[in-house]
This record gives sequence, C-alpha cells and structure tokens, in this order.
Amino acid sequence: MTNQSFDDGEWQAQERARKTVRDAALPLGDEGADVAYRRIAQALREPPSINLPRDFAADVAKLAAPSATPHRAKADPELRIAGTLAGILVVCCVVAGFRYADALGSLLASPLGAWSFSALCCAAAAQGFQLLTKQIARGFEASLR
Amino acid sequence: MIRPEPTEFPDADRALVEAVLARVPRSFEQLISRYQGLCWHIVLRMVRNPEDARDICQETFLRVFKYLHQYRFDSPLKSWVAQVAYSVAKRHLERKRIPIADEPDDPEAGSLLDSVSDGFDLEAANADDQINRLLHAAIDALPALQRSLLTMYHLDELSISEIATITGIAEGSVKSHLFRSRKRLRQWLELRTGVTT
Repeated sequence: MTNQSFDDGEWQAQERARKTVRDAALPLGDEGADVAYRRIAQALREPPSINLPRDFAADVAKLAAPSATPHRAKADPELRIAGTLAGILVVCCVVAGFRYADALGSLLASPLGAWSFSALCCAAAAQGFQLLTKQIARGFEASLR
Repeated sequence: MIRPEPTEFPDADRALVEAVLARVPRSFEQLISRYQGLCWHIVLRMVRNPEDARDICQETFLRVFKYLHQYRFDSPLKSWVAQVAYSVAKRHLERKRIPIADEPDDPEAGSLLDSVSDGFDLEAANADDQINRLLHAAIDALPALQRSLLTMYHLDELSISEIATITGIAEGSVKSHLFRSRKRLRQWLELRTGVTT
C-alpha cells in the first residue's frame, strides 16, 4: 500500500463497522456499505486462544513473592522486631557469661559440658549455613530477573 | 476524537492494588488472572511466537509486581498493565532486531500481505471460514506495531488516548496507523475476494 492519506469519510466507515461488530448490532451479511470493514472488524475482534499454563497466575505470583519489593515498607517492622530480639538475646548472653563465668568454665571442663558445648556450636553453625545459602539463592534469583 | 470508554473495574482495581501492596494472600494471583488475557493479546500480537509470549507475559507480571507501588491510579490499571506488557514485548523485538513498524509510505509495505494467500485460490473457495482464516493470516502479516494497535483498539477496547499512553505514540499517529492498517486489509480483502463496499 502506498501513500494512504487520511480520509475522514473512510475513517467513519471503519468506525461504524467496528461499533456494529462490537455491539453485535447487525449480523454480517453480503449487503450493506461496510461489508469488508465489518468482516475485518469481526476478525480483529476474535481473541487469539490463550496458550498460558493452567496455573500461570499462581506460579507467577509465587515467583514474584520472594522479591517482595512493593512490600518493603511492610516487611521493615518485622525485621526491626527480629533485630531487637536478637540484640536483647546477645546482651543477655554477655551478662550471663560474666555472671556465671566461673561456673561455666568448670562446666565446660567436664566431658558432658564440653560435648554439649560442641553440639550447640554445631547446631548454630548449621543454622547459620542454612541462612547464608538462602540469602545467596535469593540474590541469584533476583539477578536473573 | 474517540471518547475513552469507561474502565470495567475501577474500584475493584483500587482495592486489588491495595491488597497486593498489603500482601494479602492470593491478591496478586487474582490480579494476574484478571489481566493475563489482555497481556496475552498484546504480547502474542507483537511477538507471534507463543513460547516467547509466555515468557514475556511472565516478565510483564513480575515487573507489575515490582513497580506496583509506583502506580498512582492516574490511569486505569488495565492501561497500566498493557503499558508494561507492550514495553516488555517491544524490548524483546528490539533485542531480536525485528522492526515493529513499517514506514508510512513504504512502497514495500504491501509485500507481506501479498504473500499471505500464495498457493490458495480464494475466489474458488469463497466460504466465510476460509476468508476469515486468511484474513487472520493477513492480520498476522502486518507489522508488529499495527497488529498490536488493532488488537488494543478492537479486541481490548482501549481508547485511542489510552493506546497513545501505552505505546508512547501521539494520538494522531495511533489514529493514522489504525486507519491505514484497516484500509490496507480492506484492499487486500477486495483484491482476493471481490467483496466491494
């Protein structure tokens, strides 16, 4: 098609055809002023079949949730509370450590105490490693987006 | 000037956006379900490949989620989602170096449509469904921009001003693209079927 200058009359014909099909005002026939445009409008009105997976919405929602960018403001109070509790725990441990330093020393010297201390250290290390891997996985997932 | 058509769920959209931002369970899933059809229409008409369209729809909604806090309700949510879908699909085509529009007076512009019915005698098989099938092929042969503008206007019932906002193209140009694309399709149809107006 070359040099199709705008023609208001033809535009109106196109629009009449679009509205006719949209409002289903007239069946498509072989007569009438806008048969070709009505046929075109009808074809344009037909939706392509949606070829998305059945659980598309749920899957994408799950993918989106970990990034949680729009909810940073909501997540912040939770993080603050967790941080405060962790701080209180550390302070309590330090105070208890000073107060019961002697008793703790003799407890650790005993075989049962040493074993318990080792077990606690292992559990803490495992927990820390788990948190670290989660953080790395999140970072990797975010970098892929 | 075409009057903008009313949005379908303005209040429901506001409530839905607020629910997503407040992290109400399943609210984002609901938003996706509501607009996945619109996204699919726009994206598939742009890129044509269903696998690419699926990936682009996914990327679209991840972006919608990421930037939803920036949505200010100054346009219908439908238009906003369409804008994200259009820009992601456009970027995809640009990355693949696929031109999204032809030049207004390009003498080669008709060549794609001319190739649509090769090997098929339409005049001999003038049944409605066959004409319709070939008309769809002709629509598919239009450049990506024209295809998506026609889809937004006819199928998704977005107004010209909304389409202008979505695509970043001036309203006059949107109207001109619509006019020329439809006229081109009619010329093609008349040539193949002998249908006259």
